[in-house]
Amino acid sequence: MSSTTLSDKTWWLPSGNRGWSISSVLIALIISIPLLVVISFLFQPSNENWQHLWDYLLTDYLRNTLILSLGVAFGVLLIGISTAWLTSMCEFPGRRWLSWALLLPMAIPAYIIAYTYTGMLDFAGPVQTTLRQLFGWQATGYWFPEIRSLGGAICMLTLVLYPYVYMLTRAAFLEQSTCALEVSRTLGKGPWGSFYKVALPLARPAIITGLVLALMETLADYGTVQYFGVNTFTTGIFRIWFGMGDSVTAAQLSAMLLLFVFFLILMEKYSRGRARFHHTSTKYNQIKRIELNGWRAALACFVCLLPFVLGFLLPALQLSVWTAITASSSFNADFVRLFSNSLLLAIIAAVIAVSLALVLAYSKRLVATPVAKTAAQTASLGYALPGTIVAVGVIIPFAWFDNAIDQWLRDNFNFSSGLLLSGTLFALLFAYTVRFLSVSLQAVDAGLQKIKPGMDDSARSLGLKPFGVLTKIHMPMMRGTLLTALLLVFVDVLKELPATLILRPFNFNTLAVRAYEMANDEKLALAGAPALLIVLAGIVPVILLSSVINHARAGQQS
Amino acid sequence: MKTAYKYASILLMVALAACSKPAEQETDENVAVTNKEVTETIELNIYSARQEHLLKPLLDKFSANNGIKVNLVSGRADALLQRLESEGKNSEADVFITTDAGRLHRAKEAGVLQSIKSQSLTSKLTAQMRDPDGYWYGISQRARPIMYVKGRVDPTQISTYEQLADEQWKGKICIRSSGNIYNQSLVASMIESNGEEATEAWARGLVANLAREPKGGDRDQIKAAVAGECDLVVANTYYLGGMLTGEVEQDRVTAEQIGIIWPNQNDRGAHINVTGVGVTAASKNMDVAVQFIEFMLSEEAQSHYALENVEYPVINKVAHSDTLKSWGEFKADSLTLSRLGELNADATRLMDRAGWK
Amino acid sequence: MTTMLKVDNVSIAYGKNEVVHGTGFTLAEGEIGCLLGPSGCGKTTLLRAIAGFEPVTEGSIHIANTMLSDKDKLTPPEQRQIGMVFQDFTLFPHVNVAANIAFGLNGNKNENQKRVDELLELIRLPEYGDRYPHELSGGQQQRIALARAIAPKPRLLLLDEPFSSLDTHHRRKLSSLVAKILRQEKITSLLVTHDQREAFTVADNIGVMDSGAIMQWDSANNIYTSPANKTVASFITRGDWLDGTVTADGQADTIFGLVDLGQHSLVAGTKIECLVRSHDLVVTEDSLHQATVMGRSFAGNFTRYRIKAGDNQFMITAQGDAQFEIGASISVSYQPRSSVFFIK
Repeated sequence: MSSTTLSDKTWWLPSGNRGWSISSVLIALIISIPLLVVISFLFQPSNENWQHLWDYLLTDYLRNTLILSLGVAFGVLLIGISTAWLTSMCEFPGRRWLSWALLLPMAIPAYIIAYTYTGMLDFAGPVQTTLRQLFGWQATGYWFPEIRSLGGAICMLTLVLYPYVYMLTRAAFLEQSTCALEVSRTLGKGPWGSFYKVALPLARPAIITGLVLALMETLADYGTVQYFGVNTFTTGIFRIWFGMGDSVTAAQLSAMLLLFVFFLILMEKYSRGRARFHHTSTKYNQIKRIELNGWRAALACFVCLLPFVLGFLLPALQLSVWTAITASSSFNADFVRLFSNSLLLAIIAAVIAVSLALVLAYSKRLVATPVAKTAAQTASLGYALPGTIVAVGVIIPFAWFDNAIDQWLRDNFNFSSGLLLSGTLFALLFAYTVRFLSVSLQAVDAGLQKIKPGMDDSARSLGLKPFGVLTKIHMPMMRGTLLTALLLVFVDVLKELPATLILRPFNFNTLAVRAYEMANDEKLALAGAPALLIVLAGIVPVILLSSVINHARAGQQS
Repeated sequence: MKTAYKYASILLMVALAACSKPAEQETDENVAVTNKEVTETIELNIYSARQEHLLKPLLDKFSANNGIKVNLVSGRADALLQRLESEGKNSEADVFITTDAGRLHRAKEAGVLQSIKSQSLTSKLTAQMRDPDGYWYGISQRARPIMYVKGRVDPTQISTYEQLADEQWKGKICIRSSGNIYNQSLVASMIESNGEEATEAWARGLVANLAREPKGGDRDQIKAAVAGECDLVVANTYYLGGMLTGEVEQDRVTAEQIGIIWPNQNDRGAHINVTGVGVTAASKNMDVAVQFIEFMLSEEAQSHYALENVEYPVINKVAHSDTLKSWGEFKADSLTLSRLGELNADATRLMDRAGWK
Repeated sequence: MTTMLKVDNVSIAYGKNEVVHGTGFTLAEGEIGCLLGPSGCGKTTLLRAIAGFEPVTEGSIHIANTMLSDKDKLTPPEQRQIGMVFQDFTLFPHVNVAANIAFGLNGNKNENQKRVDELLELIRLPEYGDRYPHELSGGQQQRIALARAIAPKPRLLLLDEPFSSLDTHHRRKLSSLVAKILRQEKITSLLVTHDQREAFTVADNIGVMDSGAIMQWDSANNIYTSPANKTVASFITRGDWLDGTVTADGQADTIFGLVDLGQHSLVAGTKIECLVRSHDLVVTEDSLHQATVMGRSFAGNFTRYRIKAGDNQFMITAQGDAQFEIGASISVSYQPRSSVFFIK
């Protein structure tokens, strides 16, 4: 889009705030480039591989993807909501530390948890071997749950993805007016009835946001399902591409995945209808946590402890054991650089993603045109694409751009610029932004919506320009939200593998890359140290994040 | 809070500054020192589908020997190929290293490699280990034999890949998924040898004999066999060697219980594949690139493969490690390796039809 | 008349901090009671204890002879059949008006619909069933909240400062409408407010609370004419205090002369304080008692002056225009409608 079209055709822009509209549309367009590249493959003629897909694979892929998605959805909702409710509304021993410990599994990459559990639970692993020795079982003829299965993949993904639902739902519960729950109690609904009929529906936007994030991650997952031998839509994309060398059909499958996610998001928006979820009340009573005693307290404790132990403690222990075994060859000077590379990338990517999210969300607030809304919506689709596909979507236009500039310079000035953007950290950071903007945008958007429009009006009447309103009013008010968004992207980038692998510049390695290369070479034990460090680097922000949520209720201690 | 934003924006500046000069980001300190002494730094840029830790010792040696700075990006083969293709003639890569002859063939077809006619290179390798037109040269090879659990299987009972489909092995075989390139090229070699129809029938028979749905990597198959889940495994020797020489005690114990059967010794030979290297079409450092390939085929580099990586070298002069020796000599399938690449898609589709997950 | 609510000697504490100290009252069936007091006096806490949100540390709460709370027992709110209207607009934002009202109903769809229509009619918002809360004004929302609370026909309705989020005009209008509906439907209710006028408009009996205890439980008239103590008296109407000494003939000697105290049994010489409401002082030509005008505010059909007599200042209202300047000397006489006095 050229600038003339923008300034000449402004019928779709309300007057004023034009700069904001234009920048949001521009950002959305630029962020959408990789997606458009992928979607453009839909218009390429399909080839004979489609017939093959159709005949032998697609039913299986779709079935597995559907079951996987439903299973993960069920799992993350069950764990996420129940633990969010218990830690925000009930009092039981250990609640305080569990409320942040429950976030920790987020720091573990899905493929890493898959490796650790396989190491522990496989037929040849310590658990089964011990059981066989203990009870004198034969190799066959006893039943043991197979970890490398569709069910296993559901469990693994659930364990590392439920924190999205937990985190957002808990924040929603803490921000809910307790009056609404009390009203429900006086109308004859018990604590559980009130939970189902009031608290849960009110937390719906938060729950759905968490669920969407978890499902998009699930659809994008390649490492776990591939390792477990579960054929999903995403493994199908790679099978077609890697196995048959057909990048066109692979991109077409990716485009279909994108359209599917877009459809899901639209469905959700539509189903909300006229209902609103923000509170009509402005008064926040101190939450009176229900004191649990005896077996109830024990049960609550168990319910919250289980996801933490399974999703974090056991895998981290396994990683520690591996690290201990390989300590001598794992830790060297190189390792410090891996660590600092990972941190630096994650921090920069987080700042970029949150800044862009602020611009997009704020322009949507300033000028709620369908264009602005669609811009924000489109820009966040990248989260559902496997990292490798996003990377290809980045490589193609960047290389095209670089080569075009180079050609032009050669033709006109007899000078070669070579590759300007391809193979730079800029390309990598761009890919991260495409992939994770959704995460920051969801958080920032939700945060902005909590600020009443009257606040903007009064600030404007006091002489602030829109930018001033954003920096002087909104950003300080949303401190917690911004920090949440920053940390979410930070942790995600820290774990990111496929795009990093392909797009990074020469000699640039990260912890995730090291962990993957070791694991891919089937040297799991050597993958332990970098994986453990990813987890450790992720823990700090996760703990920070938790204290942010705890203070979500204005000026209140949790 | 104000200060926090200030810091954030400073950070962003720093970041952008860092982005603009990525190539200078890092280098081994001693190499950097050497480079300063040379008026113009000679650099070699490598895209590699082999993991960094497998190549690094060799690259360091190459740098030390020749004073050439080596820059590396390692990643998944097909994605790197895509990157190379998109970057076109401006690509900074000089050399492309990838596992599997199929990938090498695909790179050649995509036009990202250039033909190198070098007497010194061709003389070192048998015709099978290089592209006939000089687009790529093998640097290491690996074999994919049948493995068995010692004491549980009489190794004389099976002597060919074809026999894996025999009734007697029902529920006794572990092999990884058909999505894996090693299996794809094994099947491609069988299509080349036996034809598509016979191979498909064979694949059905194999699938019927599997002890479990394919899952995990080659090491996982070996572990499952030793644990008792199956008796026969098809896996690369490289992984068995890795277990035998690795740091994990339990892996060593497990691997020691595995024996190797070299299949098809009376006909075409055991399935092998190569890791190869080619000079990119965009390379502006062709001499250095060739120098690098020559280094990779030197005895020094080749014995590294044999001794440290438990891979089979591509030149004959190099001594094998004890581990390699313990597995004995074998006859390798002599098909033209680029055929594996040509037949890869057919093999993948065949396995889909046969229900090989 | 049967007793519907009995609050007996109830104490309530938050941790170690006791905020309600052994207080009680009863409400008859259909009666509208009110807890009136300044903020922080414990009235809302007592209301929440009746609703079942707070446990009691002492005493008991009964509804229709069923014990609901004592120091060992706390029937959960949902089992009490007590409806409640909260200060803030606490309609559920995610469902429409009809669903809000039907929230506590357990009947079948038709019955519920009928009851909802009935109630919408009662609160004079028919046709509003399909609206969503955010589409309504504050006063409308609070009417819906009332309808929602009385929909399940609770045995008792609690109203916690239900009008305080509204502006003065809507507060007056809505409080009379609510009083009318409660009387018409014969709903036993307990209102909590800090607004004396609201209490007088709505309630049959009022309990004036201060520092965690009910000082006086009585009709509006009795509380006004014979407050139980100085605190009650000053909370009910703004007033000033006039020192006096009981004379031998039972009158009080003050700076405004002798004041008739009515029936009492105080001995001569007792020091007392008489309540001086602004309309108890009258500007009159023939009074000997002089006062100086210190300040004035014109209020339309009357003018309020602040005057100084002796060492004390008093408020006084005078009909008509603001005729006296600040600093002017006027003569006033003390003519209380009912004499309210306490021993000093």
